[in-house]
Amino acid sequence: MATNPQQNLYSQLEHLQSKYVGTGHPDISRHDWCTNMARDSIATYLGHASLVDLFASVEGESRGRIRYHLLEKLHSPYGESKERVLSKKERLTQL
Amino acid sequence: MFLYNLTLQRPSAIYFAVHGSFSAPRAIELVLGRQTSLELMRPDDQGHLKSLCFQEIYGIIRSLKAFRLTGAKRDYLLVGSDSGKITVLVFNPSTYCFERVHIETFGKSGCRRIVPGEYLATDPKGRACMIGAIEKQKFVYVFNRDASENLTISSPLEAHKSSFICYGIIGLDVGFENPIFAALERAYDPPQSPKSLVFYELDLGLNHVVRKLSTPVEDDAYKILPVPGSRDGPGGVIVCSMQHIRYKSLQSNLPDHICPIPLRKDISQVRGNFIVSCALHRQKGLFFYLLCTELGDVFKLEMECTNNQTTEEETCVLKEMRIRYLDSLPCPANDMCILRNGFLFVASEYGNHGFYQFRSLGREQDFCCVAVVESKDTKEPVYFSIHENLENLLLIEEIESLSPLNCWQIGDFYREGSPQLIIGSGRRHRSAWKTLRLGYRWTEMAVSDLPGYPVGVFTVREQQQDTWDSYIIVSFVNASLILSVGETVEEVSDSGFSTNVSTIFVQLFSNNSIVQVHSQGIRHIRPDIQTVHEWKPPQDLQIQAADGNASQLVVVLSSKQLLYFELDETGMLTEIQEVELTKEESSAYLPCVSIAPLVSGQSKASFVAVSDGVSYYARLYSLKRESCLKPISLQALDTVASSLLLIWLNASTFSKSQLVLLIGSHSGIYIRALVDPITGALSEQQSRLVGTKPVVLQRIEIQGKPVALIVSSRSYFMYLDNQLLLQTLPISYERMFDHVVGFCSEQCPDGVIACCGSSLCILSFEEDRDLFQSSHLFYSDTQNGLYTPRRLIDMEDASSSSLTNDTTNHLKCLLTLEADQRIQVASLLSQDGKAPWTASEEEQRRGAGGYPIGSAGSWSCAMEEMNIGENSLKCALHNTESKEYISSICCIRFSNDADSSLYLCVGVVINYALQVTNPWESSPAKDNMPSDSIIFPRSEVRVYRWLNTSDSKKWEYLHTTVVQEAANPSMMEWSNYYGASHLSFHVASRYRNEIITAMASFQGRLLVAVGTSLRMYDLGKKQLLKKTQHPRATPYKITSIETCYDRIFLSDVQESVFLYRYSAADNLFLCIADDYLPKWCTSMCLLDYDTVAVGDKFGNISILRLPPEAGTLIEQDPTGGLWSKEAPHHFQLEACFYVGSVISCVSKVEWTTGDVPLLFYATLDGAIGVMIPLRSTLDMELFPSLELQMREYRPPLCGRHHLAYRSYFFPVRHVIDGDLCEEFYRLDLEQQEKIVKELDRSIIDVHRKLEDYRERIRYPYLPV
Repeated sequence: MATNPQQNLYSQLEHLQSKYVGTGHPDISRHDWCTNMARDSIATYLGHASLVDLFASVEGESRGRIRYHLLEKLHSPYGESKERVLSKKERLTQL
Repeated sequence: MFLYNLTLQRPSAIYFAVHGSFSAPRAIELVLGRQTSLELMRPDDQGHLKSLCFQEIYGIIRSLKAFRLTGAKRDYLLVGSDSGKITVLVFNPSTYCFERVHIETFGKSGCRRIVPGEYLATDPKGRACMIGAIEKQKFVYVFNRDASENLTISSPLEAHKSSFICYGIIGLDVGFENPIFAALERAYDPPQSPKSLVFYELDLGLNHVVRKLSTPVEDDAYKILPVPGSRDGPGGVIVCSMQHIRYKSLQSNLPDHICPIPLRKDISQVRGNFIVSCALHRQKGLFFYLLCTELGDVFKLEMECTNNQTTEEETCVLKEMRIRYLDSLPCPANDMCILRNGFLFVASEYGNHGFYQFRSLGREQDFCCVAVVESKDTKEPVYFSIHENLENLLLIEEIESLSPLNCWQIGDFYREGSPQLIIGSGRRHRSAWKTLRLGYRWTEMAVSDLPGYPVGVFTVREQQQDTWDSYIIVSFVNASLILSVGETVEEVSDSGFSTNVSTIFVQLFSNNSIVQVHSQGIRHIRPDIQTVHEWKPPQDLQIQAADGNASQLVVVLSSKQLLYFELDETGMLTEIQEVELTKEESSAYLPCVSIAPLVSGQSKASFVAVSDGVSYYARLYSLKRESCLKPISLQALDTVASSLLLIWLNASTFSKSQLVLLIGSHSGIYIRALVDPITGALSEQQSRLVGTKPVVLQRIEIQGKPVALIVSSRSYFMYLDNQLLLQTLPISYERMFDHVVGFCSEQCPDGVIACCGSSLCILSFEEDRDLFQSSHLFYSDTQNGLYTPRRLIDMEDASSSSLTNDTTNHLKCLLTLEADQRIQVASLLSQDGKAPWTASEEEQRRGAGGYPIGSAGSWSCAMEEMNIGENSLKCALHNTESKEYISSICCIRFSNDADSSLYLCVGVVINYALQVTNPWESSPAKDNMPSDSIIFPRSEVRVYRWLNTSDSKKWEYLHTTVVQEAANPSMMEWSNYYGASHLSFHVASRYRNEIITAMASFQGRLLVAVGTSLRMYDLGKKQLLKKTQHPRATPYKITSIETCYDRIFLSDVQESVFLYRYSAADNLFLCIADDYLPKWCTSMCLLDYDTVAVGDKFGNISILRLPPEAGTLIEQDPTGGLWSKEAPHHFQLEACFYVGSVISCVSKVEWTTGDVPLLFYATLDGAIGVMIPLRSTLDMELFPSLELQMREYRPPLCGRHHLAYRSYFFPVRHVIDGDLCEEFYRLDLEQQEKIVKELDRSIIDVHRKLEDYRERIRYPYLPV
């Protein structure tokens, strides 16, 4: 029953990725990584009411509207992925 | 360094409010959810809100709901917190706190993206609840009852759907059919998916959840509300979107009803009117919603239904939906609750919370708009005009809110002997500058002059059952003035009291007879048999002191004999016993005596406390029959006692009372001791210096609760608060008192009468807050500001030495900076900025209307002068163009200025637009905008000189210096060339942020922080002269500057603190130290040459210190650190603590003269706390272990681990959580004993230690 440790690790990682949204992988693109980070941050802002307070107080908007903005921003916090930038490796191969 | 953290003022921002019956069936109560705490409130008969319980949960509250099982009488509270657990709480009326019923773990702790807790919804019949996360996860729990009527909770049922963002969850009213939950969701994968309303059905039979149906809704929908169903209403969902609200029925064959949300006249349709909160009122045959918009307008949503009886079942169908304008509140509401008794509670966003009563539920003449059925064109906007004043609502009570607390200054600005806090709070047109003082304030009801100097004052009721006092007796050296209290206060002669003697004591007995003790005897007035009995002391002896209660009386004669009288069955006063106090005959001081008042169920008090006026002792004698007038215990004093008081203190919510002996001495010290109610043994002695005059103690009653007044050169108010903490707080009044007595009349139910010199004052407590709330220690004075306060500086800060010779008559002045985006008033102000508003305009401005809304880049800023002596705010400067943003101000005396006059430097940014959260607002980050279309800001410093001539005191404009030119778009070309166009927004946003952020005076020169660079300027004739600069002093953006000799501490917006040294020889800034950890600094204060305290955006307070060896290395370094590229040293983290919300200010304050300075901090949501350095190594051993034990015995209510909570972002270090330690008092005796056993201390020891730190800021004197 000896399994390849590499394989085992891989399946574990896959499990993590499906269970916890936002878990990275070695070949993650810059855009995906940034999007994940931004989504995680925005979720934290939404969770801490006083951070929403801070944004509202700085921007001069109501808390409700800031919350709505943040929720809408979750969809593509880092712009559309169409303009996905080539990873370093891809760029090298192109050259 | 060890610090002890205590919350002084609780956060005032309320984010959640739910109503229900928590303590008893049919009780009308509110639970208020703040960021980290829960509070239960109940309105009393007069409509005042009273707090029943306050609980810190040591976790973040993210959602709150109440639910009730079918047929049950009381509500449970459901809390979604950051603990990764679902918590069901129930209120325990015997201990007066919330207790956990169920706590079920479902995920990781913290406010994460996919861990539920953000949204909560319950089934209206209390059968199930759904708890959801922002993304993906939703759990459904089923509630049930076991055989013994206890609530049971099922294991979670999953309703996950990955890559879906959730906007809200509600529980639909479906009667007793399977519970249905509705969620507003949108998928982010694939992008641009439509927003949809998704129904989840919980199949109770099969015990699983199905995603039943998904219907598309408007893309800008943001809120959903359930509509009452079954018999009361049509059921279904209301979906709020930017322009309109839509009713969606559960029956698919019925059309939607759409109603536009009315707009104020000056709001564009694109912006819409955003509904921030809503409340549902539901009773038999009637239901309606109140919707509150972001401008504070309240609409009533009415739904008219018809009953269809076509099928077997009776169904309700919506006939008409109307939206009716009710009133405009001053601030938008975070949450609203309509109580069953017709009150409306509004938890305001940034302003005082209001408790309103309905005058009417919308009148005919109020604006009304009717919904139409889907098919018609509904795009036409509808406008309404607002009510200037409340017309349908009536404000009953306000709860003061300090949120958002943006800036402060602490110091003794008013020269009162103890510091005041001047804070800037509120927002936009409702902004305010408040002066906070510790303690309570008395307001003068009446003052009258007396013919002489009184030696005592007494009040007495005519009969035991009377509510109000009938007589006021003012005693002079050889006469007494009898005043009768009625409509007015008048002198009377037919009262039965003797007027030609000096009264010592007056008491109403239980049989409604009154005794007047005077120096010549005791006069017992018995109205029941219309006689007056006189008791005379033996020849040549006088009565010197007396005290009594409803059935007992003790007097002390000049022969130092103590005589004890009791009221016998016939209603006669009979002498029971006498005892000689001392052999010494004469003394300089009068004796004093106190007897405990009767508590309910008691016929006689057991103890009397006596001081003979000679010895340095106070004695306690027994009054029990078997051991009458036997001495029991003894308290040594530093000098002769001036006043004694025995008092039963109790917390209103607990039956537990403590008998306390207070002893005031002639040296101004008071001693407090607990008296064992059985044996009379004294324990827990505490002493305090309270003033410079002999202490006078008095027992009064406030709001039906016993309170001890401690009067010396300052007065204090001592009581047991609802948290069982003994609180002592100063009372402020201009004059010093000689004698005080409690007074209760119709006009002034909780008052006192005080003698100040030869005048008599009737004073009353200001009833603007719950007096017995702990952690609510300040009272405030308010001055209205123009815009949102941003900064407050002390104008005299820069006046180091030279010009302030005339400090005595110099008015203390503070400068305020107020700024707001998106309002258009700059053009309305007059050019010179003087008196910009008339009084009526002021009213209008602060009313519901507010300022007209402007575009994103338009600013309104003002600098106002706050003259402390005059209590006035005067607008000194304001921006004349709306694209100018005043970002910082600084007062400075330039060293190269021969006159050394005071200069004001104002940092102005032109064309500055904040990067906002709005995803649609064009920002380079999102759109990869071509860089030439971005407008870059330009920064300049304007210099003004203070003209202090006899005829004018004003700022005179000198010159303007451009410190940062607007960036040239071509500077960003390189990034495109590099082939990384995605990087261009990084560069662009960097240049967008290259604005002036902070200024400071440093060695007679001006330090200016522009984005990441630090520059130094000197005063020139035409402009400021740049002396040196560091182009990249911190990585992102400098937020504040602190200087100390040659050192400069810079805090970065993201990367913590950097320490620079100015080398005068090289004219360079040299980096000495930085921090290992990132910190998003909001405020910083200098503690000493090596140390700073930093508060950050995420709620951490950290103390950073340069290691001592680094200090010496810097001094010895021959190169002076010139050649090191990076910081050669790193700060050590001395202390770190998570507070729970954004820290807005930290300050080091010398609170008590001669004491070590304390670290005060404030959070954005209005909390004020203090960090006190621990005094001794013994404390450093005691408190950590006490904290450890408390964590075990009182784990946080919602399941967060206390240590993990306080280490939210960084591990907690060297800070003791005093709030948790103080909960020691709330443990029962058994648990307390267990803890002290572990600590190897006594309970008294622990109490004393806790009190020591709590009382640290209460007194202006050091502890004795």
